[in-house]
Amino acid sequence: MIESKSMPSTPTDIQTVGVIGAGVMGAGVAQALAGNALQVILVDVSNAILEAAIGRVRSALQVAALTSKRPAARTDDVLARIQLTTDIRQAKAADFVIENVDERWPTKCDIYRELDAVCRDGVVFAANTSTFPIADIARLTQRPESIVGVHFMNPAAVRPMVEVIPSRYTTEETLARVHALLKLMGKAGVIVRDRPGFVTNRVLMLTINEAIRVVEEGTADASDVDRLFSGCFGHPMGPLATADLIGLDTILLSLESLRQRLGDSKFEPAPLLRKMVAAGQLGRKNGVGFHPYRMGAHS
Amino acid sequence: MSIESQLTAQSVIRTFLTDQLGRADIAVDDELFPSGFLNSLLAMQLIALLEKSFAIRIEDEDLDIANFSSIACMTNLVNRKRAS
Repeated sequence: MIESKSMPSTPTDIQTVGVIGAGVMGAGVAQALAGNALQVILVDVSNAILEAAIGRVRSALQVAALTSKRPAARTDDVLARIQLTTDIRQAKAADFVIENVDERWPTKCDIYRELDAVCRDGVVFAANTSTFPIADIARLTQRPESIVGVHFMNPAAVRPMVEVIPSRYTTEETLARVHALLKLMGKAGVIVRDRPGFVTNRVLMLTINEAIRVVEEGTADASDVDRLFSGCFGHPMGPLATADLIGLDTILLSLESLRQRLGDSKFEPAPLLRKMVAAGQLGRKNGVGFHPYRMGAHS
Repeated sequence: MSIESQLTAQSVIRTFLTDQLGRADIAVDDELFPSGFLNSLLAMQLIALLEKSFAIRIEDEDLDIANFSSIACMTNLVNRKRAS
């Protein structure tokens, strides 16, 4: 394990960051950047998704203000630094790109080829993935040395640490740029090897899946499972509340990917997880998961 | 602001808090967060409730825990915003 402080440091000229994908994670990354005075070009396929993302960022900034974790910048100033677009070619103005699209390989292929065509040489693409090998993503482009995994945790604007995953192609210069950007965002990175699920997801997904099986088997209900993790281990949030926060559809995709890539049946998604996702119970983002989220946090 | 709309605002906020906090005995002037701590999920839900139910926009300067410390304080905030 190598702490980010051992990464080479370099003065940064990063001012504008392209954020591709404006779901829960993309919105959080955009907030983390714009909240630290960086300009953001936020890209997704529809205006409705982009507007929902801005709503999420605004809501998160309001909550931060009300709960005394007040950001230095005003809400309107932060929002003004986020440019919304459905045209990925707008990312050509970016000094650094962070990709947060769905964990579907054909989508990744399209996105990276388009980004590679429009962005300047040397612009680093950080894949905020938790499931695909960074080397595979690197090979989609003509700049494999500038591709790196940066796995943000949810909520991205709040969590102070990320996993940084160089592939065998990633250069020290690319890592230095990642380090410089993370520093601007007030975050630290820990370098891990390019293996399926890296560290956090490989361990967390198995824990969540097992917690779901425990509920399915009737050993304890969701509320008690989470209470035990909070009370016994001091975790601020139990595994099922964490699953609700991440999104149950994302959990399912991650488990399926780990099952396939590691060839290990222990990652087989619990039947209850499949049923909940099929029924549209996706967690906090749409108000129903293992716990109820009345009102819905977002419209 | 009419008495009717004031009562409506109080009623909406009280119903929401009764549901969220699991308490049926919340008085209008009860200090809701005596420790000064409001968890982030409830904060998000309260802001969304006020903005959507009363068609107001809560600005940075409104985001003071004092404006959210009781049903009466939130009702006053809603009424100030609607009047402005």
